[in-house]
Amino acid sequence: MAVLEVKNLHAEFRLATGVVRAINGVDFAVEQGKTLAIVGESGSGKTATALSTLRLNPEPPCVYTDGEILFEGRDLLRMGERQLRGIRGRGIAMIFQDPMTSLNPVRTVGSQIVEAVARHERLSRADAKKRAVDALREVGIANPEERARQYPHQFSGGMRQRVMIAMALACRPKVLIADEPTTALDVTVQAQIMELLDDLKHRFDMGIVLITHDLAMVAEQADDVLVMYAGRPVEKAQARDVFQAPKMPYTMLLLNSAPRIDRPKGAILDPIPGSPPNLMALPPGCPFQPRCLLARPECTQQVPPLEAKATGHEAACILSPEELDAAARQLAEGSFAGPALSGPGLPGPALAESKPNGGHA
Amino acid sequence: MTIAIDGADAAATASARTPLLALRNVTKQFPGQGGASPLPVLAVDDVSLDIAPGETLGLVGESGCGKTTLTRVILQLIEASSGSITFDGQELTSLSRRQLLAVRKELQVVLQDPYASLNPRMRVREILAEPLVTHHMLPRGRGQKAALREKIGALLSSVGLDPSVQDRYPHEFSGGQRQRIGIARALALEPRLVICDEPVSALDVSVQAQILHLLRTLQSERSLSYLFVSHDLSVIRQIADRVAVMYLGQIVEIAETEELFRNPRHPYTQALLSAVPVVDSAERERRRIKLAGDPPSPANPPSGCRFRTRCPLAQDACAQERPELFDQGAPGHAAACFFPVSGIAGLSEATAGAA
Repeated sequence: MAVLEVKNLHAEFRLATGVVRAINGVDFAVEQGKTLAIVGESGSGKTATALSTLRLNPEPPCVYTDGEILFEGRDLLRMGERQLRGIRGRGIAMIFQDPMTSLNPVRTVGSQIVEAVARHERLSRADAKKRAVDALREVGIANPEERARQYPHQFSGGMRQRVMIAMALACRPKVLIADEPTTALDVTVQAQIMELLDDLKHRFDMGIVLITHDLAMVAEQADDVLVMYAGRPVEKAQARDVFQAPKMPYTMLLLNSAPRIDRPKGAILDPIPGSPPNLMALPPGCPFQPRCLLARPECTQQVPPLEAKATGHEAACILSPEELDAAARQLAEGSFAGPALSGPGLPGPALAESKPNGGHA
Repeated sequence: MTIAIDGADAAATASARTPLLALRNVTKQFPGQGGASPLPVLAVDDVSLDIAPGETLGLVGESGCGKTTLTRVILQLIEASSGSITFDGQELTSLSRRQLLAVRKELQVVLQDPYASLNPRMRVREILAEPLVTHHMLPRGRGQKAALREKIGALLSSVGLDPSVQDRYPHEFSGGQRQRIGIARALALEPRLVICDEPVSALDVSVQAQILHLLRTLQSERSLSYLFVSHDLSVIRQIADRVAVMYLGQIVEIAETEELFRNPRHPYTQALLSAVPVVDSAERERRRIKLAGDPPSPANPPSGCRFRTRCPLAQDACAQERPELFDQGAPGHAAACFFPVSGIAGLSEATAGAA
């Protein structure tokens, strides 16, 4: 049963310079003991979505315009700050990308974990300290008694991320939101951290929401995948289906363009032309249409809804499942010329990117 | 330390051509900081490398392994503590500032962060004109302005940007476009070697391929050599002709790209390769080699082999003596290990046997 469910969530940031529609109709469910990956590039709305499951987007400027965020059946969007505090940390916990900026540099690691525990439970000082030491031991930190008395700068990057995980798990949350948990880490350390998360997930029967841009990591870690583009969910399915038979041109092209270690040199890489759109000035119709090699004139007319293209596999594209499968096959074979493919053609290396769109949101 | 790519071996490989850049036993030591008795940090330790004309040498390693320090030493932005760096036969370490200026024309750099490496208060035109002005590459007198405009327009088109953007400021561009401007700046002086220090790691996945594609196209058009530094092995595999793997300041393995990825010999290379997640589920069947802990501090490196403290196959001998880069059979393939095993599978089997 789903412990966390997000239904038709819409949120926007009302800034002085304009309205950023960061989340447009996101739906997903997180089950205990399972990992849901939300994949997207910068500005795709994946982090805003993650933060909204804890109501951590600053309000204002963030306004939730529609939808529900149900944790054990209760809607977070209807809760007051007091009730939310009961859920943050104990019901749903979060770990962030950069463990150095998420820890307080002038307090010991142990006291920071004690703080997290004491917020939710009435414990004696000694018991709270013991819990902190236990939490550090659980995430594989050697000499936890001694390490609890040390400061963040005495830990390496990977060890700091373990501390963050220990802190997040100290109150035994049912859902853990991990926002790019290993982006700041080296690959050998990344492998350690991902293995630790997988192990803890099974041990505590937690649901994990993994936010990442790394497709290969998703393929290894996730049970279910939600692909986001320009604040919209564009593909949703079980992980193996997404990688075996992607149903959205964005996902296909991304898989085809991302450098992959299991592909030899020369297999490179049909770049996707252009860059992700500016959320303040979205293109008409499908947000991916200006970069899509399969785009048709109709694509500018309306935003395609997320709809079933195969059993348990949804995608937001106006092409039929047959047309999508044909395109995927051609892409995989490197021959890209079908009747459906009257797009702007393959991008040449000298193809100019679309107009400047400022920084990413 | 001898390098394996000398003598007879070299004759058999592509690097038989006179190298454009040659490092011999380059070492960089930084004085220690803080504490009662600060230890010096050996950031680059006895590195020897060659880059042939038109070649891309990939340099991989984790953070703190000394790869960025090595690029700074090559560019003569910091002085090497010892060793020799020759570019096109000319020794760089003993050049005067004036002589160095002439060499820098041929030796340019593309930096990692396209947001930090472009001056936000300069227009694209000014950014691209700066190297040309510094190196007196512009015609004097009348017509200079027009010539400059034309030159900059041509540079922008060569990196896939519209020549009309030269009056804009960096903030008007996306990350990928900024990196194109950074590449145009590096190319303005028509260098022969470009050092690319993590040029795509700050970019979105969908934009990375564009920049890699561009770097390749420029290379074949202008017969450039690249030293391509990255921590991302999948990027390295797509762009490099040869790859050098660095650990704690030392080169631990070097080989042609496909050879290195198919037949890694050093346990560190094997562990590094096995740690990268892969999309293909069939590939994932291979065993992941777990490395315990973090790399040791370069201020206090282990004796003998630098990797022995994390190596699943370490033996007593590894603590006694530093392994040299031994020849591994294939042309140009060398690894600094006393007990190399074959491939990732070899290491997992050997580890399972030892356990």
